[in-house]
Amino acid sequence: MRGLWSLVRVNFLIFIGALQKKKKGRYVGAAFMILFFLLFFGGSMSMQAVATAYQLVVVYNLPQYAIFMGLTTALAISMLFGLMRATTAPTSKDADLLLSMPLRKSTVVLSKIMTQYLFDAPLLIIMLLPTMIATFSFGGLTVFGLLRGILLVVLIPVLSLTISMLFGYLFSFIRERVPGGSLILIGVTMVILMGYIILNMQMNTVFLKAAEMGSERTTLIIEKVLPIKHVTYFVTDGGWVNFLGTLAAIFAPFAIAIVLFASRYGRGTYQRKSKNRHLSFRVRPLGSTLLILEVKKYFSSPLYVFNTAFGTVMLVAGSIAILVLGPDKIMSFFAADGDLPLQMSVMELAGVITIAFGFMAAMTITTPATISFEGKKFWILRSLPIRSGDILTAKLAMSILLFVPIQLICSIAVALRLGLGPVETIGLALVPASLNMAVSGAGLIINILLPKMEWRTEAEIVKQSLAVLLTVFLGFGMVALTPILYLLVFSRFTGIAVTAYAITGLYLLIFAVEFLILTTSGKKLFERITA
Amino acid sequence: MLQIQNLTKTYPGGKTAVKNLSLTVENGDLYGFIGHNGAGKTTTIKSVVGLLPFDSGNITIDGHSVTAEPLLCKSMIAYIPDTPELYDSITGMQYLNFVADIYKVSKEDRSQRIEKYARMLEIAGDLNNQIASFSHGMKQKLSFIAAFVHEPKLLILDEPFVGLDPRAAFSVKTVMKEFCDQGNAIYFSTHVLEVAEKLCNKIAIIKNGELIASGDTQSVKGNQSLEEVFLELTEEKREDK
Repeated sequence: MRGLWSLVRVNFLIFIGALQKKKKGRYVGAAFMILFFLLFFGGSMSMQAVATAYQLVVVYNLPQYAIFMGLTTALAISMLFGLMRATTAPTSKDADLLLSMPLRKSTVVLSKIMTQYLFDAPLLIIMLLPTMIATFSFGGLTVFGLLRGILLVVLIPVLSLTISMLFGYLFSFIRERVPGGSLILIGVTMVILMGYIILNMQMNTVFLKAAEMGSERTTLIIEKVLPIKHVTYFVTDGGWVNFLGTLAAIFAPFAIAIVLFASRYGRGTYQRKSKNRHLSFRVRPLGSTLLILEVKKYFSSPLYVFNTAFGTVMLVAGSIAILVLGPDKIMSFFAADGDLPLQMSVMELAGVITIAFGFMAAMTITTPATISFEGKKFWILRSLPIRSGDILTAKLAMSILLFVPIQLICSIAVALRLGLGPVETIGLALVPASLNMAVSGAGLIINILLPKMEWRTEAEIVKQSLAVLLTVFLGFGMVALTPILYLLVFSRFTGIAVTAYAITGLYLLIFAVEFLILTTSGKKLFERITA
Repeated sequence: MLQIQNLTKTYPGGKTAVKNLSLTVENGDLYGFIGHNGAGKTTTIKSVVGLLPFDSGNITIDGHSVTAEPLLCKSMIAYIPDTPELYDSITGMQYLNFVADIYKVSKEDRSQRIEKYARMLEIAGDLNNQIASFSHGMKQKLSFIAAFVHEPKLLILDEPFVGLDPRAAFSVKTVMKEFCDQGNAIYFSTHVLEVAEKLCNKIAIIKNGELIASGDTQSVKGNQSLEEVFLELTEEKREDK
C-alpha cells in the first residue's frame, strides 16, 4: 500500500514539475483554456441535464428514468474515452524503471490508473453530477438519494478506465500477433466509434419516446439493462442488494481489467524482424521524401491517427449512406429525427451536408500536434540541410492530403446523387476543402507558437495540448462561419451556390495569409524551437 | 574547417552554459572535447550544428557562418547526438535513404557508402528492420552510416562511443582515423579520457562553460596522462572558487 501511494505521489510530482517548466504566459493560457473548456462543457451539460430532468421528473414524473438516462449517457461517454485511450500500447516510459523495483506489477499499474482517474474524473463528473442535482432539486431524489448519487458520480470514471484497460489489453494482443495490426485496430476502433455515435443517437430518441408512454414502459427498459438497473435503483431506492450490485458492476470488471492489463504492461511493442536482406537504394526528390516521412510518422501513432482521421472516416461513411439512401430518405430522416416537418429543397439539403462535411474537415487536422510530435527526434530535421519552409510545407500537405482528395470525391459523388448542376457541385465541394486548408494552416501556426517538445505520452500532445484545443475551437468557429454568413448576409440577396463560392474565397484568403505568415515570421519562429 | 570565436550561450533560466569560448579545428584534426557533466560540451556542439541559437560570438565552417548560411554549413557537416533518437517507425534502410535524399546523394554513391559502412559496423543484416527493434548500439551504428552517407567534411559527434560494443567501437575508431587522414575533420565530445588521449591529435578541456586548456594533445598533457591533467585542471579551478 505504501508503495502504491509513493507511486501516485511521484506521478503527481512529475505532473506538477511539467507545469512548472512551462513559461508563465503559457501556464496562464493553459489554465484559462481548461477553465473555459470546463465552464463551456459543464455549462452546456448542466443545461441539458436540467432540461432533461425537468421533462422526466416534473412533466412525466419519472425520477428513476432521469437517473437511468443520465447514467446511459455517462457510460457511453466513458466507453468513448476508454476506447480512445486503448489505442496506445500498455506501457509507460518509466515502466522498466518501476518494474525493476521491488513492487508488484499490479501495484505499478494501479498507481498509473489512479493518477489517470484524477485526470478523467472531472469531465465525467461534470456530465453526471448536474443530473443528480437537478433530479434532487425537482423533488425526484431524497437527500440520501442525492448523496448516493454523488458517490456514484465519483465511481463512474472507473468504468472508463476499465474499458481503456480491457481494450488496451486486447489491442496489444492483436498488435503482437497480426501483421499490420495497428492499422487494422485503428479501423476497428473507428468502426466501433461510428457505431457508438449512431447507437447513441438512436438510443436517445428511443428513450425519450419511451418516456411519453409512461412509467410501465420506462420501468421495462430499466429492468432490461441489468447492470444499470442496479446502479439506477441504488441511487433512487438504496438497499444492500443494489449497493452490492453497483459495486460488482463497477469493480468486478475493473479488477479483471487490472490483472489483464498488468500481464502486458511494460512488455513494449513487439517488432517483427524482416527476412529480406536485399537493400533498396531508392532516390526521391526532396519534397516527396519529406512528405513520405510525414506520412510514415503519422501512421506510426494509432492515437494520432485515431484522433485526427476520424473526420475522414465519417465523411466516407456519411457519403456512402447518402449515396445509398438518396435525397428523399435523407430528408425524411431529418424530419423524423427532429420531430419537425422540415420542408427542405435539394439545394438546402446539399448546404446542410456541406456544413456537416465542414465539421469533418475541421476534425481532420494533424497540424496542431505535428511539430510537438517530433519531440526528441526534432534534432534530425534541424541538423539536416533542409529549408524550414520545406519542412512546414510537408507538414501542411500531410494534413490537407488526409482529407481534401477524399472529400472532393465524396462531395462530387453526393452532389451528383442529389442531382446538382456542375456550378453548384464545384462550389459546394470547395467549401470543406478550403476550410480544411485554412484550419490546417492555423493549426500549424498555433503549434509553432505553442510547441510542446518534451512529453511522456503521445496523448499529451495529440489530445491534451493547448495547441490542439485552440485549433479545435478555432476550427469549429470557422465552420460556424458558413451558416452564419449565409443566414445573416448572403441569403438576403443570393443563393447557396454563390454563398459557397464566396465562403470558399474567404477560406482561401485566410489560407493565403496563413501561408504568408508561415513562410516569413512563422519560419523564423520555427527555427527558434529547441528540443 | 571549424572556427568558434567568443561563443557565449545563456539559457532562459539565466544559467550561462558557455562563456566566451574560442577554438579552431583544422583540416585533418581529430579534436577531442572533454569536460565533466554539465560543463557545456553539448551546448557548444548544438550551437555549432545549428540546433541552439547562441547569444554572442561567431561560428564558421569552412569560412561560412552557421547563422548566416545555415544550409550551406549543414551540407558540409554530419552530426550524431549523444542519444540517437531516430524515427522508430521506419526501417534502418528507409532512414538512410531519407538522409541520402536530403543530401541529394546519387543511387550509386549511396549504395556504395551504405554497404561499405554497414558491413564494417556489422549491421547490414538488420537494415530492413524497423528502428524500433534496434538496440542503443545499433541506433548509434545507423547514425554513423547516415553521417557518412554524404561524405561530410566535418563530423561532429557527441559522446560517440556510448553504447557501442568493443568491436563496433574499434571499427568506429578506425573509420574516424581514416576519415581524418583523408583531410576531413572530426570534433567530438567524450568522457572516455583514454580514448581521447590515444585517438585525438588535439584536445580542449572545458569547465563550467569556459575553456581551461586546448591545443595539441601532447602539449596539453605534457608528461602526465590526460586523466591526471584533467583532474588537476578541474580541481585547481574548484579550489580557486
